[in-house]
Amino acid sequence: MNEEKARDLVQQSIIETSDDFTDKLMNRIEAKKTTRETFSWRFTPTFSVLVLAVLALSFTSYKFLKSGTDLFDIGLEIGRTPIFTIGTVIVFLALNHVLKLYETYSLSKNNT
Amino acid sequence: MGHENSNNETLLINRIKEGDTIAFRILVDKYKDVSLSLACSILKDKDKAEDALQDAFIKVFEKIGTFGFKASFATWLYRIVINTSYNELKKHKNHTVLSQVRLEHPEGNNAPDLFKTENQKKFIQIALKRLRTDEALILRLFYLCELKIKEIEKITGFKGSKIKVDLHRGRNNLNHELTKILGKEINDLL
Repeated sequence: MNEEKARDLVQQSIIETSDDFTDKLMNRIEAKKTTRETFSWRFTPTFSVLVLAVLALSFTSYKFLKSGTDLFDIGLEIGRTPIFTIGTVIVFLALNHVLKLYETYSLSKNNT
Repeated sequence: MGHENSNNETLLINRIKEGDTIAFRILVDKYKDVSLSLACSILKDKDKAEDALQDAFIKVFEKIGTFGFKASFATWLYRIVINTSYNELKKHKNHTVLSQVRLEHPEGNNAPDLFKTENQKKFIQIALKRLRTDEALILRLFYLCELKIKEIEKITGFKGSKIKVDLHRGRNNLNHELTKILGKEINDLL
């Protein structure tokens, strides 16, 4: 078999994709884009709230350590325990939400 | 004409980099059949090859930002298709029993018209499927994709000497397989 004949035969052997190949592919790509966009707009504000909550908790802790339970020098006595508890719960709830979002995003990325 | 095609492709790729999925669709339609043929060289099964090709095109879309026009887009694409196909092969450890492929060998008065029918393409595909993965892949990269040895080296990672040897062996084995399938009718084909 000479080269020219081999070329001719191999070129004839081209295999065609299914009729819906490109449509299926584009649907998968669109699905990935939508998942990424949904994740992005939910993740960013949640993460921002988490960061602010951590900063607020840190600041509050610092004020408590410095000035006792009279927070912000306004004459309002607030117990340390409730403040710390509420702050910690908020931070952990926000962290949990962020992790759930990321897990959902990762699962959908693997499935598409 | 070649230069014009290259410019059109560059424009398409730049549009895809901006997220234009319509431009990507045009590119997919241009390369999908040749790419599927390459994937089939490795996976030997059209359904598995189509799945792998879908994954490959998704990788192409996601990584298009990294394509810097240093090599041709075709070379870059084929490398991704081949790597994805080999990864799929490792996952599934495909051991297609080629002897189970049924051949429709025409008999009687229609036999001389064999090569003028749709079966010709099918028999060539079957013969290529029976070749070793490397031989089938190299034959397609060289004759179907019309790539040079150096380009095939970059895509596959094979040395130039191996590519030349496999090209020679692949042609001989293709001839041998077609002879087994077609018998005396091979003379009409060649």
